[in-house]
Amino acid sequence: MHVHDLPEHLFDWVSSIPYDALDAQQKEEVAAFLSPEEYMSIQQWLQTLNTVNVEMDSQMRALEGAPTKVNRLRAIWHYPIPLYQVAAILLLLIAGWNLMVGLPAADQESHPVDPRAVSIEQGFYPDSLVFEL
Amino acid sequence: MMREINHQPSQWSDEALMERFVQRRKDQIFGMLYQRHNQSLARYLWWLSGDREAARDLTQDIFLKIYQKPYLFDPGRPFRGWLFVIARNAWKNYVRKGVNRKKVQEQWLQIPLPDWTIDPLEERQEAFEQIRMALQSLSEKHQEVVLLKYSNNLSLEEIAGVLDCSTGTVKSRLFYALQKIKGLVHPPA
Repeated sequence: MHVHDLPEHLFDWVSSIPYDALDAQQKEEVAAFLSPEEYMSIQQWLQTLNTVNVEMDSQMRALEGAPTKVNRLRAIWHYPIPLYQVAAILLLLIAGWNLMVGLPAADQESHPVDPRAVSIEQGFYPDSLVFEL
Repeated sequence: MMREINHQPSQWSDEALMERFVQRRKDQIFGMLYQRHNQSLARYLWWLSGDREAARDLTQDIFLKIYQKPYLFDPGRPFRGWLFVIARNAWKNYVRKGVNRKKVQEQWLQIPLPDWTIDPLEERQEAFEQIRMALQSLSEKHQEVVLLKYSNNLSLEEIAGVLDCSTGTVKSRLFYALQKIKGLVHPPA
């Protein structure tokens, strides 16, 4: 029998019906597919897979309360912020803005240099500025 | 008009529930579909990824997408097959984003398995190792058919729909996979 022609129920039997519970006709049908030992080996493997699946489901259920990626994003978006914190941040921003705007701009021309000025470093002091203490 | 209008919604087929959800957008209807398939889908993705949290996040993403765009469902197709097609594509996208196959194999080693401390029988531990070894020894396409058939109980026709191949190909892959598995496991005493 070609593999493509195998009836679907053979794949179901191997996972659900123990070999000893098959009737003579079913055993005959299985024989074209698997030996009794092979059938039992595969069935045992599938049963263990099933046990693992049950445990995986239980562990997955245990995760249900934990935040998911979607929930984490929602949680950030809906994070409750107290009004006083919002007010404090706003006040801080306004104060910062006022400070920035209120500062006098550096004015290069506010201290013009008089070309007639005498450099003190050179030791030339005008007489009018020298006092006898 | 709903085909199964005379029954309780909990008794409706997946396809009827989905049809109703597209029409009415009731969360309760969607919740039923979620309850029916959430666990099975998460388990499938857990086996594929070896990562429980990634499986859970992917499952949530898939249901969120269906919730947002239910009209993409073709009422002529079985819902479960469609769901697993989406899951498979989501998994492929996840892999493309950087999780390579080797990493998945490593993560498989960390799959938390039955709590053997409760029943610490060495035989069971050994049996589990057989499962893991057998699945890891299969190619990806053979793993898929084994998991879809025996971990998620999909029919061969549904699997063919998910994998976009013929039922004969599914039988062939499944048969080959079982042949390989039987060579790896010890016959029961």
